[in-house]
Amino acid sequence: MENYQLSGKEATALMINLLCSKLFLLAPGYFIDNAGSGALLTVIFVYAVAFAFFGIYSSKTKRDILSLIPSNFFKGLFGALSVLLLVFSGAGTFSQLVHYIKIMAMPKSPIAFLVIPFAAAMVLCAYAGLKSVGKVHGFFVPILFSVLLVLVLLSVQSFEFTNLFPIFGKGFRAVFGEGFFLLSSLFELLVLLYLPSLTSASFRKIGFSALSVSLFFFVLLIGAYLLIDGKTQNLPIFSVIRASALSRTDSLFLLLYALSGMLYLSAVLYFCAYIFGKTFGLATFKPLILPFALILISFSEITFLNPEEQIFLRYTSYFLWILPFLIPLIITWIKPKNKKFGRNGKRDEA
Amino acid sequence: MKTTNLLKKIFLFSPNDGQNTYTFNTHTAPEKISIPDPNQKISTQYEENLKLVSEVYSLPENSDIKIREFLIGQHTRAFLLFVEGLVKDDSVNTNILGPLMLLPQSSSTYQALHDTLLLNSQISDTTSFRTVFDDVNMGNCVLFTDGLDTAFSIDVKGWERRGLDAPVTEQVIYGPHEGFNENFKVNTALIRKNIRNENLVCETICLGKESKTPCALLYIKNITNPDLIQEIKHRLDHIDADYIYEAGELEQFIEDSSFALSPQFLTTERPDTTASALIEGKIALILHGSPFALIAPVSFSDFLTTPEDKYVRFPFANLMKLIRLIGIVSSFLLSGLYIAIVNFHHEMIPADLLFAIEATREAVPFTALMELLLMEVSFDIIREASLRVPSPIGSTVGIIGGLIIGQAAVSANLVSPIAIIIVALTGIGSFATPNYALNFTFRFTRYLYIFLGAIWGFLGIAAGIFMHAAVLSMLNSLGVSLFTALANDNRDTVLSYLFQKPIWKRELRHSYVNAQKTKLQAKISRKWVEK
Repeated sequence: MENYQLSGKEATALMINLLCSKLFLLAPGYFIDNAGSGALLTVIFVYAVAFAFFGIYSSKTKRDILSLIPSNFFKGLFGALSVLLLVFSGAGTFSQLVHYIKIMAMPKSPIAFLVIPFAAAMVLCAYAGLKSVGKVHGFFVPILFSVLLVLVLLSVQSFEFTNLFPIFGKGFRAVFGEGFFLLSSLFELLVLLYLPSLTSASFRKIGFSALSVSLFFFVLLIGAYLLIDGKTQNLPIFSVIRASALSRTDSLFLLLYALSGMLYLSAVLYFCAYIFGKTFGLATFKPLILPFALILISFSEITFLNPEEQIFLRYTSYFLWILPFLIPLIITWIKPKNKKFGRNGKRDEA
Repeated sequence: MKTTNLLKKIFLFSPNDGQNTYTFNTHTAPEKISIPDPNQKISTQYEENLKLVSEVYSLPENSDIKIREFLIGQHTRAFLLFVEGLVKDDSVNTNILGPLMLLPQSSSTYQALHDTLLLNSQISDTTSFRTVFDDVNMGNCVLFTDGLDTAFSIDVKGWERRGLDAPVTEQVIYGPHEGFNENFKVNTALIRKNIRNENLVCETICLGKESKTPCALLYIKNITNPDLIQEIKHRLDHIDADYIYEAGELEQFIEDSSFALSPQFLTTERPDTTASALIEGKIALILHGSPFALIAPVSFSDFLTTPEDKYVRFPFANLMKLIRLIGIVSSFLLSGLYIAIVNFHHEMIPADLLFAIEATREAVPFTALMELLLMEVSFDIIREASLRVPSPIGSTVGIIGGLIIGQAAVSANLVSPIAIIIVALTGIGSFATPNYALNFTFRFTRYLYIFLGAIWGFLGIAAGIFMHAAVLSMLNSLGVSLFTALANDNRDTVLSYLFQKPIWKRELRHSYVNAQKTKLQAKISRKWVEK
């Protein structure tokens, strides 16, 4: 395992991009599709749940989630499930990323050809280690999201504020009932639960900062998409930027979009290998990066078969949230009862 | 002679017919020449010392090694050993030979020689031949006396050297116009001239088993972190090489990553830059024979900074830095972006301009990629050629390059004018890179970006930028990340590294140096503002 410890800012940037990169993809479409003009309320509701979860979780422990699980069997099960779902989630995002690039800028290029730069970038960065993953996030995330903010602000001229009403959109049930399952959009919060052993900074501060910033961008981008009367699920943020005052900059969005995707994929790949290594007590996990990359690419190829349907996300959103939200709460609830004192008789710090 | 033999002699002529032709044998191991062990103690016997010195230095074949035999006080035999050309003849004659030979009552005891007869400020004594040979090779003169098992090493160095010139690679308008030369003693003296502080330590370490090149390790003992000093000493002490001659070679021996595309030590030929780095808490290495100092640890922003940035007022310094950054980014990215736009993203170009570009490219038989590569390679050849040719011809090469390659290539429809503009902007941008070593990095990566842009458009450029950043962020300079400024949890921010604060705001040393003293100046350094 590596000696490098992420700084608080690096860890926060990493989490912000993991949570927000889906905004470039289908997430705004899902929220609007679910609740109509009530999408903003759904976002706020989902984030309120996420904040509440994280508030409870971080008040009970400051440790890595795996170190809280008492039994090796359950530890293995939770780790394996985390890796599996991260791979699927990463592959789904990978598939969408490449598919949109094809639509946006390179319609004549075959998908497999567009996969190469993403694959090379994620493998190189993940292989370079946690320091690289942290530093590139620390470098690119502020730039990416600042530029995005500017581009969105420049599209104000196309905003139609009546699109925000009715505020409850498709109704109370859609916003808060079915909207609850959109908590799965924040599935990558799972990575945050593994961060305490990788950073010396305050875990609680990282989590709240990342959630706050990502909430801001979720509200901003879904709001902007609503305001320009976004109807389709495809290329939501691209649609916002096309409406901006900066003409001919559509292609520049490709840079932001691809960079955000590469950041996301490199982090997912790194954490797949890291979690696997940590779960099964491996001395080193770097040799796993290439196999995991191949699995990720292969799975993304499967979802290419039906990119419009997005089978994985559509059908897993009902239970995907259980792993990062419900199970950790249960673990922290059970743990103090069963393991009040450690083996050496000292009180558990959590 | 038979006719056939005569014809053979004429038409099958070969010089010497294979006789007296020397072929160097590279297959069998050469015969080893035995050399006397130089790690012996000096003898009290005059003849023994003389014999050993003569054998070690291959006398009389070795013509520049001089042994001057004489009598001290007209009664005791002695000889001086020195290298012709490395010593000051006047000093040898006046301060050493004069008093010893001319005073008839001169005593040859150790005390007499050391205290009264050798008129030189720097004298050391030794009982080891190893030290004797090291000192003689460095330009000292060594005195052996009959009956004494101690030799005196007298510092009379006086070799020829280049005078102090303006730095070639780091010229400035404001600031000192004084650069290092190849003599490390002169260079260390230049730094001492800048830092008049008794805490400045200049340790000399000999590098290279055969070359024994002196290397000065400089640091300020009450500022620099002792761990850094220990680490650099560890690296220097563990170089097992016969020969190190230049700072560039030393850098490659002690850098963290040899395969990296970025330098990890800052090279400078300016004493003021070196002094400023030492004050900051960094260490500097000066190798004898090299006009460059190596500074570590550094962050990536140090490579983007010129000495002038500190000397001009901060708004102008920041404007210059911003323009320089644009130039640097365009030096490695512009060509790639151009090819990406031309090949994939036409919509970014206004229609009129697009038609104009297409019209100029219509007659060009090459693809945009070939056209750009042709120009980039030509530009690099011109640059390389103008560096190697004597300076009076250098400008001619530039003119020929500019006129022939540029104008004529366009007239011959080999390249389009837009490609010339792009390559020219890229070239000018690369000259804005303050660090020569970093310039190589960007020259190299520019070709990678061209290929990535040509193959995948902006997607390729994004992948290139991402991978470039990932690779750079792996690198360390003496254990400190080159991207240390990025997203760290300490007081420094990226902006504080990239841009200059007003002089009164530069209160603290950079945190990555982790110096013993964090404060560089008082919170209120301009005390006069307080009334």
